[in-house]
Amino acid sequence: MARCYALLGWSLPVIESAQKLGKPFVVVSFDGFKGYAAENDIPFVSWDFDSWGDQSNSLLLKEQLDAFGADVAIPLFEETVEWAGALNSIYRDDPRVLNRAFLFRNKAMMKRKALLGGLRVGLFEEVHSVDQVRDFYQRLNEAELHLPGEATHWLHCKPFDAAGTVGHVLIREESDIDVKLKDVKFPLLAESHLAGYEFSTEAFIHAGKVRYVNITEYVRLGHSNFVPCGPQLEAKRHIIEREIQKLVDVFGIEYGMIHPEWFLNDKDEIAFGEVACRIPGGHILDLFSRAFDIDALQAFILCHDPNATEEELKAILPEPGAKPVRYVGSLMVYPDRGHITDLDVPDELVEDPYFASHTLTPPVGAQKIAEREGFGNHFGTVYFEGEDPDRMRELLRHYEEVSFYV
Amino acid sequence: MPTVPTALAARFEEAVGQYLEAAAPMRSTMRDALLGQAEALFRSDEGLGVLYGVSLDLALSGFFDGTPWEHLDRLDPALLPGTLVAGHPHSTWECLSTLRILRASESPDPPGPWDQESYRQFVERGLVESFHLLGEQPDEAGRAVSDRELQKARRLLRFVMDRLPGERVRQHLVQHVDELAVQRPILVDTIVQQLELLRDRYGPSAEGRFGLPEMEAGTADTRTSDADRLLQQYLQAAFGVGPDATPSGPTPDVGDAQRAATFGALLTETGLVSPGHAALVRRLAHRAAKDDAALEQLAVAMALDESGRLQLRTHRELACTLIMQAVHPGTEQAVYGLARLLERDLLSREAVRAGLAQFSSLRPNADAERTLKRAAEARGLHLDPLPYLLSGTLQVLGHPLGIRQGKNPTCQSARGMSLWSLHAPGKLLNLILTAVRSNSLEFRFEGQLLDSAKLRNGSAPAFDLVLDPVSALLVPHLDCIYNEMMQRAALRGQDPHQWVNPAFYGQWVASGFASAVDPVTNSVPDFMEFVRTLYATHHPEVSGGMGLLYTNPVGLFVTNDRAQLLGFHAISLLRVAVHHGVYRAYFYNPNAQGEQNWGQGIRPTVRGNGERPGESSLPFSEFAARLYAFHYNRATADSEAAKEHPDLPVVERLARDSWGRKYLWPAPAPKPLP
Repeated sequence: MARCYALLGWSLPVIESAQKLGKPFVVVSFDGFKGYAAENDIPFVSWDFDSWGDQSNSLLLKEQLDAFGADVAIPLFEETVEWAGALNSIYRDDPRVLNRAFLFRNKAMMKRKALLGGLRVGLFEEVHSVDQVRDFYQRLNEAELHLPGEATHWLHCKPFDAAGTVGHVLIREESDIDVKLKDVKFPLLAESHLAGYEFSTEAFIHAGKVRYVNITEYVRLGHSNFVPCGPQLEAKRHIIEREIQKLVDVFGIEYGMIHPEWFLNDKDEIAFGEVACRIPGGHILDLFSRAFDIDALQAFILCHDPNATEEELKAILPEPGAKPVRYVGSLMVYPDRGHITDLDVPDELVEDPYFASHTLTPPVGAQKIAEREGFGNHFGTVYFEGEDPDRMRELLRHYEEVSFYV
Repeated sequence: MPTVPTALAARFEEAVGQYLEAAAPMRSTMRDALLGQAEALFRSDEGLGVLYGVSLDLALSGFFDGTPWEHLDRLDPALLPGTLVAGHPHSTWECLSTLRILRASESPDPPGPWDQESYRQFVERGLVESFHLLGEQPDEAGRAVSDRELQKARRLLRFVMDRLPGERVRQHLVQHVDELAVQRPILVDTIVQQLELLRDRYGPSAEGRFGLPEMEAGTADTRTSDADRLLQQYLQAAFGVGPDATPSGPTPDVGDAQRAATFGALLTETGLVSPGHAALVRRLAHRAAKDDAALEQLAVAMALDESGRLQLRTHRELACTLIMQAVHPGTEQAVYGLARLLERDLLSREAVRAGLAQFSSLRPNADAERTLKRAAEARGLHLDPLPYLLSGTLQVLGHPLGIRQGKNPTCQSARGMSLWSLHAPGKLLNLILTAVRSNSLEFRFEGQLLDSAKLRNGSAPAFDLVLDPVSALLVPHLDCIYNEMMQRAALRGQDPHQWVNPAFYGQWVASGFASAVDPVTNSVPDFMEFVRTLYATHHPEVSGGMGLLYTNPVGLFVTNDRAQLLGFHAISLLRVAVHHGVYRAYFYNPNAQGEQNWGQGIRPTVRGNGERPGESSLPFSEFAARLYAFHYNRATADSEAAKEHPDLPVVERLARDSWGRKYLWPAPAPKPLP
């Protein structure tokens, strides 16, 4: 059992789960949260994750955390992954823990490692200029034996270290290269488009073993998903789990939770998209908790703890093969018009037996909708709960098309 | 009505349970989801019942912490109708807050800072303030408020009403109607609408739970039966007096004399004209040109005093023509306007007679005509523009203190119209006739002519047409002209009102001008001199009992119930008089809706303190403490005479502790009063 968890990043739900876990913890986050933490008796260390140097490094942070007896660092956000890796390297006396953290923060390195380990990935390359993207595009289409007049093969460009889909650019044709990459910062990872159905998994790992895999069904990437997945995807669980174990072995992951995204094609082949080791977006862990009446955030914390016992892990995760108590879905609502003035939640929605709640609030006055960055800044979420995954999928698809903001 | 499945209710109750168990600082994230569920439950009666059930527990757990609903003492029931239709999440918060107060009001020993009576009064006042939402909304079709939000608000109000003691609610509602009606406003739509709601719920024929007892002689003299009598009176005044109120044809009727007496009495008491009353007046006017008995009955039906009767006899033909031209379904209140106009002896003025006679041969400008049509439609009426304008003209001339600015920030224009009606009715008529003929107005300012048609600087871009027809026609033009004058005088380093007011309102506005603050330095240069000058020129104890010759256009600091400065407001000081040993300022306020609360215990009243219909009043010292500018006659301004007046320190303290907090004061504040 760990003496004290260092939670890197500010998250009230995680703080609450940690409190319920009844183990000591300390929150590490930006100075702005200090007052709130003091007011509410939350053990707290101020830290600027954005600066690194003589005055700000993991040794200094460790010194501060020593006062709390911290011996396990847990990253809650993308930006705290290296910090957690650095601290855990010290705690576990294993420099490779930090190197593994870098794997999660550099998408090119991540891909290369996956490729080395025999995971199926697309054609990829690190690019440093628009011209290199063009070259990559031409080589890709050449390799795909593209003939004039045919649709070209797509490619994706993404920053090495941004969360999820932030900064993601899709190139469908050569002319996109100049237009879409005009104001983009290099270097980027360029990668061929992976065909197939995209979904995510949340794998809880302890002592290098995959303890439980949740499969999240994406109804529409970044907009709607539900937990656990429907029977169609569940039927592929054995293939999925095999690939996850491969990933864990290749990356040498020992403790924590990873959130890899995959593509499943109609030949039951699974390609690796990318992987994060922080709390996933899209309310996925909330949904997972609710679906099995567990506390997934506690499981997230506990899996980071090398000293957690088998009993503790068993008690906190669902039994493998367990039926969910209910299927739980979330629909993230983005205004679909350039200019919105009002919130309109239809009666039909709140009357549906699957409707659970919503956090939609109206725009303050009429406003123009900015271009979205990643899938981060939605206006609110609608939650659904019910017994039938097919009905769930149908509802999410339906309400994708409804304008909640007019 | 949407049906909320029991699944949601169960989920909500489960989530509330989790919320109540969660550690306090962690609850904020759960609160959003709870609020979303509450919003959904708010859409059905069953759902409201569920919310009602948990509301008090949630409140006691600190659910409202950090929101405007946290401190009960800071809540204002007058804001309820606004937030209830402001959409989620505001309406959901307000709904939950109202329900927890309702819930607390039902316990003889309620938790929280208030006793049962305070909780009750709050809910009852909130209900009274929001009561109008139960009726058809003028902007309902315009979708200013979404239909769903309105339905939700109405559902909540009915829910609350069903759980309050009926007699008390009825009493409050009747008092509220009375408070509006005693001001004799020109537009009575709100009053009539509230009476319709009251009739449907409590009227003798309604099936409401609290059937109104029939009026009987010798009923026990309790407050309740007084309220019921008052309600009965209002219902009769607004809707008529029984099935024989509107005979089918214009034939003489033996009952007319009796009806005229009844209607006349109701008119005196309420200021309201029912369709049956208006029909009777038209019928009598039709005959009265030749029939003396009909003329006398007409005088009775219009409840005319001696001078009014004399005017009616003298200007028999014109008065009857005006009735036939102006009194139609939808313009019944013109009867009251004409009655007051006659009593003001206005028909003795050549200019007024000439102006009113011009309506018969008027050729309106197409745009002006369109404005009038739209203004009628905004009130749900389809009327010919000219008769509609004439009806409004009679009212503006008859009871000028009934002019209101509506939802527009145009208090100066409303004040101008009331001033002209009081002191220069010919000028007002000329403005009306000019505007309807040319859709423009011309004013002179410091030797230059300002033409409203060439100015594009009205302060009301989204002009609300729910106004009387004269205001709808004139205010857009007046507002342009006023703003142009203010702009031209803006950069002179002193309050521009001292030049603009005489030019805009009329040269009788005195040239002496005192302002409490210096807008350039944001300071209060010499407040005591300001107050002394006010007392010397306006307070009878100091001025030697001089009455006001003219209405004084003055500026007020508007403050909220916590005495915080909200802005400036144009009103007119009408008179100063003693009532029950207290000197009071009686003033015209173009946005008076009833009792208001300006903080520090300053509550302008509209009745019960010697106010005439349409007047608001305050003790003189409290009025002084909210005044920021006034005009005065320099010949009477001996401020030294006022320096010993005992009010002065009180006024200063009230001023410093309210709007004064936003300004720099030169000297340290005096010691607090004992």
